[in-house]
Amino acid sequence: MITRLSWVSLLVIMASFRFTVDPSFYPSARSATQAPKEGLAYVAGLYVGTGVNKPDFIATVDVDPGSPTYSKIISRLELPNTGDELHHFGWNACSSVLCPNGKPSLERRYLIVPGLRSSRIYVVDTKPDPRRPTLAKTIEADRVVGRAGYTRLHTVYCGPDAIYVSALGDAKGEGPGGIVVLDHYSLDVLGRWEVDRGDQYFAYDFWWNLPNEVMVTSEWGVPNTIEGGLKPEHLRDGYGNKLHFWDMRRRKHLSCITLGDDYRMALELRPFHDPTKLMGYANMVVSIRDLSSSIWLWFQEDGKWAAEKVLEIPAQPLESGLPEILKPFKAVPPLVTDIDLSLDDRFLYVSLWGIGEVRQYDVSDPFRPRLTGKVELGGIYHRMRHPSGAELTGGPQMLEVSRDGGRLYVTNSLYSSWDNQFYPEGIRGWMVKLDVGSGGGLSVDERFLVDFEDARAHQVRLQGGDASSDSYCFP
Amino acid sequence: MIYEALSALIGVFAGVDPSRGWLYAAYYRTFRGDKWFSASLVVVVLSTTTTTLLTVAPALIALRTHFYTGFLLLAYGVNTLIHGALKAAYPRAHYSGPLKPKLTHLAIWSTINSTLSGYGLPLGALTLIQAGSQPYFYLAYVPVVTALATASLFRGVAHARSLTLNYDLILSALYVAVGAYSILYSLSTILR
Repeated sequence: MITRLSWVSLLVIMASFRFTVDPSFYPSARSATQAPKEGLAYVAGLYVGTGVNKPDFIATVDVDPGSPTYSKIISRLELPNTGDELHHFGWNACSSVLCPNGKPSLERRYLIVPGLRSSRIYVVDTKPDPRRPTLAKTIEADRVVGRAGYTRLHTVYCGPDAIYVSALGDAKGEGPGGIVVLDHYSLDVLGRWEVDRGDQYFAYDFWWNLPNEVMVTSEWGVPNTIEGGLKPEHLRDGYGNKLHFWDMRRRKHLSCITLGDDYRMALELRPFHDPTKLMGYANMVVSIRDLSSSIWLWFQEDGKWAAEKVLEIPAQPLESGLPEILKPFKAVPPLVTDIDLSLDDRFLYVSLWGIGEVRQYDVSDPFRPRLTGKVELGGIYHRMRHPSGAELTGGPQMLEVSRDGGRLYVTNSLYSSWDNQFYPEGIRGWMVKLDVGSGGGLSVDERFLVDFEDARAHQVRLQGGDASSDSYCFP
Repeated sequence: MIYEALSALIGVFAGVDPSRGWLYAAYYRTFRGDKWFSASLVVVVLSTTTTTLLTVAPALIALRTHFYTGFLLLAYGVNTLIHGALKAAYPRAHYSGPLKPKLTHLAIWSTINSTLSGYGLPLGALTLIQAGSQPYFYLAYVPVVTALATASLFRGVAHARSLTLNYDLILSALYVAVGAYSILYSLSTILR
């Protein structure tokens, strides 16, 4: 009897466990391209800069074309405070869990949502109902400052050992900026990441090549420079134009490279997802010489870091309809403010927030990008409407590519005080979807236009992961 | 037959899991070549086997000196059960150091993690349960099955890295099951 009972208990115990890791984790980007299509998107919605005194929110958008609520916001998680300025956010855990030093019991469950102005960190729980996420925890700014010394939190990435969050500056709004590390389990701040920062001062984005234990960081400006709006007199010295390379294991600055003396604001970093390719792209927002934007490829050559400009997008002359800040120049800068690389490392997507375009480049040859697709959406220059006829205020800004590379989601807000300068007539938040042709090419999905009304929309994160959320240890 | 199967299963996990030492081997092969791959396998198997045999040692000594009682099995069973439950409830006991450790580092953490994983506990219990037969035969599963399973697994590294099993949870369930069974078995002999 006892023996029979013990075998029954054994079977019950074994049957009650799920023995695989979170099914949204993939060991390689190549395998992740086979992931099922996303059904939901989480989008940062914000009121900062709009004159509306309401708390920011995380919108859950239905992106399943077969659903009756397709292209609609199905829930809004309002945060408890006003003035956070939600911006970028990321997952607590992702495919890096499958690295040899990852923690296999973690699951993709919490969204780590920092406030760019408030420096708070919200932990949003997407379970048990992913359609209606809830607020699980709030880490106040004084805890972040107390433990890490940083404020103005920006990019979030899930590493194999911890959660990493970049920060633009210190408690006084000056530099240096750096990276805050959060514990995977307690979701609390552990401290500052850098042990030896060398001459790094400005901060913005970061990402890594995990197998090579290399981290790359980029430069925007310190909070006191950027928060009041873009001032042309700050362009020469107030904004960075360098990439920094770090030894991830020793958390030590190795070297830095300048991406052209005339360019400013080295923003997004997109390493190749295949970790055997130790290279990636970075976008430079503006040239102080001719207002052009550029894309740079960074790579290692003979053991040293180097970068090469692979794309230059010129400003477009325009006499009328310019905002005050651009009138002296009589031109519209492209303002390449976001780039995204598909998981198969084949297509690079580029948003031209000023002109109002999204471009697709084939980067099969990383040094020679080839334009394969283009759509016009809003913009100071194009002012293009959505195919449905709706007006698109602002320009295409944040980009997010689905894991299979078939869809590209776009929102239109850059940064509250800068939004108001470049689009003084006001920005009504929107999210559109672009369909990607199998061999390249872009087209706007006429059925998909999410209206955020008087709020603005920034980063998009797709349920189950997307092209800029996960990192991989295997090719 | 079930004892042989369980012993073999634990032996395999001791080899392929030890806090994911096997994944390090696959990783080394991809990024550092066959020499590192082979060396890391040897290090992981040796360190795991050593710590496992040390944990099983009390069971072996008890059998050799005919000092075996149901209480020793009960102790193994309780420890195995608690270990499995703790491993499931607190999965953070897991190596998360550098991705490119030296082989000496790999040996150290493999030893520590296989000790933390308590591979010897269920094997010790199973050895005691099989006291009447050939305990050394079951213990031989540790190094032999480990080596064979690992070697066969790594014939196809591409397949190895695509495995997305949660070894921690599989081990937890296995430990809880073996622990529960050992406790019930020992109680039945003590109360007889």
